[in-house]
Amino acid sequence: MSSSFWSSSHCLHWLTTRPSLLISRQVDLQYCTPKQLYCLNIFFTQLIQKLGKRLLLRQIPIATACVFFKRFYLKNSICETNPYLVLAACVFVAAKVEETPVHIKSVVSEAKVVFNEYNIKLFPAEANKLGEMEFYLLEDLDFHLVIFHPYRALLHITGREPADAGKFPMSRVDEDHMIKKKEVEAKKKKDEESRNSMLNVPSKPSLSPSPNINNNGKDTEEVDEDEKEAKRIRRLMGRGSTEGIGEVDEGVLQISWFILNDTYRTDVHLLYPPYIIAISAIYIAFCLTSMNNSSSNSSTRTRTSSTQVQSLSTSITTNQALGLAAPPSGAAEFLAGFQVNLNVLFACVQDIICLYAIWEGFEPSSIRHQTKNLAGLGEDKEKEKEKEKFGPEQAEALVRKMIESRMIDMGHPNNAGLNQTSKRSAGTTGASASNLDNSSGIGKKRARK
Amino acid sequence: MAAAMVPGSSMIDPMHYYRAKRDRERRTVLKTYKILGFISSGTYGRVYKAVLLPSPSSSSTSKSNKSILPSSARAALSIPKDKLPSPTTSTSSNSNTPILDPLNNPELCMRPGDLPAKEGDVFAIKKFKPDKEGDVLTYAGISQSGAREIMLNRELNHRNLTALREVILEDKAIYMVFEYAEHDFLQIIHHHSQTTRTPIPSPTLRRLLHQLLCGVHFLHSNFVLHRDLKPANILVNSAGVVKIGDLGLARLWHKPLAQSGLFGGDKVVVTIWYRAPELILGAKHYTAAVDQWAIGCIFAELLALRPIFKGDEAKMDGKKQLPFQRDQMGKICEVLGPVKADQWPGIVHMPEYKTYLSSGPYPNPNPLPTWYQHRSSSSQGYDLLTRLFEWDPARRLTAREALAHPWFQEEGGVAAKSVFEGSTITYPTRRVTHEDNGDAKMGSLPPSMAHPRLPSSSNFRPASANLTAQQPARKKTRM
Repeated sequence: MSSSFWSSSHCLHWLTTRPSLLISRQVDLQYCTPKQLYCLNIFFTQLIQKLGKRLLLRQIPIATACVFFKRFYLKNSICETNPYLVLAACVFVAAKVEETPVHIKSVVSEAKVVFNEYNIKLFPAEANKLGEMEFYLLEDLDFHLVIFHPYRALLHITGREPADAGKFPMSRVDEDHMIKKKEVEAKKKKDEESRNSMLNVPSKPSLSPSPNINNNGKDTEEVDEDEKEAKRIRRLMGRGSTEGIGEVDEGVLQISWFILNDTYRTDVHLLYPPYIIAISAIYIAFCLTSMNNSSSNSSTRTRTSSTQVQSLSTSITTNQALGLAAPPSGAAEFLAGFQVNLNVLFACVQDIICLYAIWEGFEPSSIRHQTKNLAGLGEDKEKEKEKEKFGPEQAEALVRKMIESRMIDMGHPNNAGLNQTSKRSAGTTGASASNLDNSSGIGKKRARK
Repeated sequence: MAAAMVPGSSMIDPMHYYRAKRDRERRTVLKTYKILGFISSGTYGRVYKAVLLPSPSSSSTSKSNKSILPSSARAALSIPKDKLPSPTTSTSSNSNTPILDPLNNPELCMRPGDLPAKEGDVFAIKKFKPDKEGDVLTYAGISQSGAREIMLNRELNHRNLTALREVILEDKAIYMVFEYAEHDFLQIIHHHSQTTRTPIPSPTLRRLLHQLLCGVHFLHSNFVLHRDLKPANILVNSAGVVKIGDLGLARLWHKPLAQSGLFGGDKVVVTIWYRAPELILGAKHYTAAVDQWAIGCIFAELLALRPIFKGDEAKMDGKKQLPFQRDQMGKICEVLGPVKADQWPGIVHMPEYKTYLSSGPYPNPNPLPTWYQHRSSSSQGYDLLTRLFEWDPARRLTAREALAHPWFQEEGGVAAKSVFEGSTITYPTRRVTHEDNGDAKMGSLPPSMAHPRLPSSSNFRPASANLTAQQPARKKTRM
């Protein structure tokens, strides 16, 4: 469903909590550190984006693929699957879901190119393997394929796009104007009729029913009086549009958008509803711009001349035309207007800003790397850094090692691995419990080593 | 167990274990449902009538608490074993836990979002045709229409839409389990035109149209265009509730659009007789009004018991160019008269406007008023029909406006829940065949009695042969 997040599968079935997120990662955490796992997620997101770009997909399908990938690993472990095959299948399904389908063969060939760059040899480059993975992926996603992204929420909140764009033929202001005009006309007509009937002139039957949709039977009394203010507000709010509400300048919007792009490397899409993520991004963007622009004031704001962008002045006139309160003037007032739970908002903000430090360690941006070199670290320190270094190369190696160790552990005769469990679970007694016990047992053993 | 190796390394393929685990947990269609017979087939695959079998665990779980569900039952119901009990149970069970009836127990539903049902409930199972390479089944990816149907039906829930109970993947094929509907608009029309030879009683007709509009209004207010409304796709269950089916061409219009907008994905939408003039004239950007035109056509068909604009479809010629649907446009103009400039100012911008002009002249009279008077005496009904047949898509009545039309208040209105209430007519039940259906696995007869397999036909082939000639197949062009 596209209009109501609250009744969507996304809201009802796919928002989880941090503890259950941790539980779902227990098996993987036996084979790597939490930080390494975090980096692996950055690594996989990077691969999804590269593959998406090569297939000429836009940001939304790529984002959908990222969320599918994250959801898949709520139920599975990286070390018990082939993440590269899963990742390609996510892109393949997401392209279909977002109505920009790509052929299965081009997914396979482009994935081969992307994975070659990283020296990844695990990916089976066969169309039917990918098609098969698609089936299993759909199943593990519980066939819930509609994802609500924070991009749309961001555009609504900042007033760039009304929440109901394309749904109604006219804007709220126009509709309000038209209904008022019709009411006046209807009133005039009625007055005339009553005057005519007083003069005993038989009134002409109306040739066509009034075009006003409210004007059938029951509602005639309401047309008599002027529309009550409360009812009018309710009708306008029922339109659900945000025309004339938001006031965020183009720079902040731009930064918020980029932050949203980055959030797909984190878990926030499994934890928070999209509007919280969007407001968090705006909050961070506000902070960043106020830090940079602390010396200069609002006059430095840049604004494109795009007709879509509503300036504060049009916002004010819109709200005036509708007889609503004036739009908020400052960033704080604007954010306060949403009345979201601050604890949730800041937890989300925290989750987003955590990313940047770890990301920098994983894939250092070139500029900072150079400045570090200029600073001239001691040779020993340099070597030490080299030892600790965890980048895409190490990530690729770690994935291989994790799978290898897991397969060995599962196949070991002393450990009732999956191989044995599979036979036993066909029986009657609690195979599920024993499986879980065994795997945590392995974990303890490894930890003691 | 022979361990599969990963190409290019000496490692064991983890997917081997993953697949084995999932295959073990999966419910199978034939263990869950008993196939009663074959209903129809189309380009997408086949539809079967089926009944839900008793749950293998129902006897043991009826007394026990859901938390101590035996593992065999958990396995049979494909409840994930070694992973978290799905992030959803905490949220979704809140509303469901008070119900202790095992049949409504959320744990006995196979997946979050699946619908509960009880033993003996009847369903229509749609099996998508699996991909084949020669004689070997392969995976070539789920079709776009299959993906859409799964995606939308899993999200949308409304009284007037066919509810999807669950999706099962098995043997490289997709099975969608829908609620069963005994009748459809086409069959009702057919019954009146062929058997009783009487018009559809007007209270029934009014409620049929009203419930159809309710469903379409729900779709439109959720940004979904159906794009294939026609009598065969609109079902009615035995309780007299209209159920809109087949969302295979439907799509969200809020999604990021391909380079050329809605037109980009599907070159041809809506079955020819129900296709709106802006589509015939090649509009690249169209609106929910295309569904409204189809509803107008369906309204007229319910009144007349035959299609109002029964044009011949121009076939695609050798080139990839789409032909202009001259005959269909002519049929519309025969009834409504040619388009006048003031009726549709935007027509001059339509890509096929010049073709439309050059393939004229179209006959001038507008026989619609007389056509209507022969069939109904309600002037409000005529008003509704003409507003659905507005040439200009911007002026055509929306579903929301149509629902408020005074015609629906006539003759006691549409308050009755069942469309059949007060009617003495009994409609025949859906024909189900036990003949060979080209799919040995899904046969309702024991394999020994079933006929040898026939090559599956790719043409529309309903079980009742006399309906075949009535409906042109929907043309779909995929990517």
